[in-house]
Amino acid sequence: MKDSSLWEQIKGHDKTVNLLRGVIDKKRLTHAYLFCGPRGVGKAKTAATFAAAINCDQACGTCVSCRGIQNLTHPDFHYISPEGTQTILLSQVTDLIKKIHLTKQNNGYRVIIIDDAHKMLPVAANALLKVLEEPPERVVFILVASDMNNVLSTISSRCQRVNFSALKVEVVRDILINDLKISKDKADLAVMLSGGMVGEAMEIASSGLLKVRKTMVDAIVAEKPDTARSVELASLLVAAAKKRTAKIKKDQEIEVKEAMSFVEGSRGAATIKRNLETRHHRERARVEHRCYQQALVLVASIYRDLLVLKENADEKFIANVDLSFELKSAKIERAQLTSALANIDEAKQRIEQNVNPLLAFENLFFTLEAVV
Amino acid sequence: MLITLDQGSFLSALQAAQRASSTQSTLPILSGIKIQAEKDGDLEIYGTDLEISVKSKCPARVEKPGSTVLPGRLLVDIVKHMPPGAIEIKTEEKANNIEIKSEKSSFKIKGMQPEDFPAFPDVEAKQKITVDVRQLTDMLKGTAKAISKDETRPVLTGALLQEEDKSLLMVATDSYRLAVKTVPMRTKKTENTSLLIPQRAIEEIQKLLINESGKIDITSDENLMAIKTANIELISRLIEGQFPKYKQLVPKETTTSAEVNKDELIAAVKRVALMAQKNMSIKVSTDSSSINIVATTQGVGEASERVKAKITGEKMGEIAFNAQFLIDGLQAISEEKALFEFTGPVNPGLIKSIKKKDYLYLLMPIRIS
Repeated sequence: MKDSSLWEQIKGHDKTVNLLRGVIDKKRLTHAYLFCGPRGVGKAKTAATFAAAINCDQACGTCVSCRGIQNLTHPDFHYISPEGTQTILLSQVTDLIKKIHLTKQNNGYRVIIIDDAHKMLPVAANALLKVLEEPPERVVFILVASDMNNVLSTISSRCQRVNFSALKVEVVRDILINDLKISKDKADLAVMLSGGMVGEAMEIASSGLLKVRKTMVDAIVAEKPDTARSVELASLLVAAAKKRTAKIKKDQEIEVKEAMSFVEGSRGAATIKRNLETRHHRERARVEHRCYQQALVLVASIYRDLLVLKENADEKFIANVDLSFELKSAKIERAQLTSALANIDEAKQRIEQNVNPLLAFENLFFTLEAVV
Repeated sequence: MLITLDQGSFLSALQAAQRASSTQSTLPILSGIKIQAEKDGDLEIYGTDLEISVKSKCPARVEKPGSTVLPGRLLVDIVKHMPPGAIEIKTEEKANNIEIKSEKSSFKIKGMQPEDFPAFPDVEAKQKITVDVRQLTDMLKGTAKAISKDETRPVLTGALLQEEDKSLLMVATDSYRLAVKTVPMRTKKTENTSLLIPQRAIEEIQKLLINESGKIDITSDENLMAIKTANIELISRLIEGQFPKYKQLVPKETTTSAEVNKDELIAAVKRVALMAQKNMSIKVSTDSSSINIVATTQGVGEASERVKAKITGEKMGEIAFNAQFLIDGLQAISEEKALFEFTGPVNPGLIKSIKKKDYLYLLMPIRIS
């Protein structure tokens, strides 16, 4: 049966959904909301649904307004997300502000979603500040952020905060298996590793990183250091990331082709192509980056599991359930485990600072071996 | 859909709609053009970038009604290169494939879902301004260049169209200059409509009016404005906010006034400006019977020219202006002679039309160090 409202498709956030639906029913909209919570739990999806509901009480998903919001052609709806490698650019915000200063086309509300708002460059955030402070009438901003530390306090203080929590394990599992058709075994693992974040779980399940874990555990459990294996591990992780970007690149090439078939020969064609390619390049860099972060999360998950076992906690708290046998055979001291986790954090920072990922991983695995 | 129509009229209707469609957007559908054929009606053609929207009509024989969205640029190119005569457009029932045929050639292109195309906006005609096309064109021409390109002050990025007693005004400023064009209106209005029209729409309206004559209506509600000729309707959003109170900027009295032949002055400024290589700054002064223009660029050279003028009031020392801005103002004068007025070197200069008193151009001086 098809659901009658887009709200029905949001899973695991009943309280938040009720709050937002109440706001619509009682017509008590404020001008800015800040949706915050962990990455990949459905904030952006909720934001899009809320946006639809602002102009269509039922968020029916089928009327002109709802469809316009879904495919971004609604005249009074604007959506921006990072177009820089990791950032929302100033030009994106100024472009948005320019649009906000024109009158609306319909008599409803103008809705603006800023996805990954924590990735706004400070200059961009400051540019936004002024409209956020004195917004034109009937404008609703929805900022979506998963890292509150990086949202300027001047921005967050001007928004009503709506908190999202991590999803329950069962909910994530249900979404992965039923909505995304991922096999049960894979789903179970991905759920445990993702910590209740659907987006993360989805990516982990399809990343090919899961296969690398066995080698990793072997390396960690092994009593003798093996430089060759460390080098291999590092290259495996990098290869997994490259494979993912290669796949994206193919889709992007198709997009460029389609876009060009539309504008070929027109005045701005070359500019459009260039802009599109720059955006694609950044997108690839972004995905690659995320892939490395996920790999590190996986590495950390193994050490975390070992710690759990060390503390004689219940086995059900282990993330890498399929490898519990190997994990149990490990003979590593607690102090070693915690220092290993610290090393992983350090590698995470290095990669954020754009250190060559292959070198960063090799370095990490060497130090990890040395620790044990 | 199955329709037959004439190449020439189809092309001009398409070009009108295509101007509104977007070349910058990353949304492919916005670079498309929607065509819609109703039973017993004209073919309707739509283009939009969500800021402005254009609907144009073209007579057609509709055998089977229907609608589709086609790549804008490509469609225009195809129709442009077809020989004059009849064109047939046919869509296949299932796939959104469109066939465009003339007598000899045949094209098959892929279309997009018409349901995904943004709906054409509705303008409730709450206010209506009726104006002569030629007068409107003059207003647009006289003020368009003064529109600001600086997006940090959005209210200046358009022109203000305003009814006032028995006249209609158009005003634009970029804070370096201000242009006001006035046309008389026969009827006195009770409500004074005031529209802040974005620069993009100003440009498009100018193009729209090129081949028009007679009277034209501009209708508007709180959000949108619409202008409609026999075959083309253009709808634009407006700029939100309050246009600055410009009247208090215009000096009531000036100390020096020069009546000068407009074309002579333009030609002289253009010549002298060749030597103003740094910031287009030229110096203007008056003596008893002429305006003197001087431009100097250090290390390059200098130029000067005298232009005969009828001077009244005090003798004017040196005042510097941006040459291009000065030319822009002078060119908007439709009469042979223009009035060029000053009050000292740090106050704005004024350019006015003499006979009709329908144009005013205020120009800020450049500080001479």
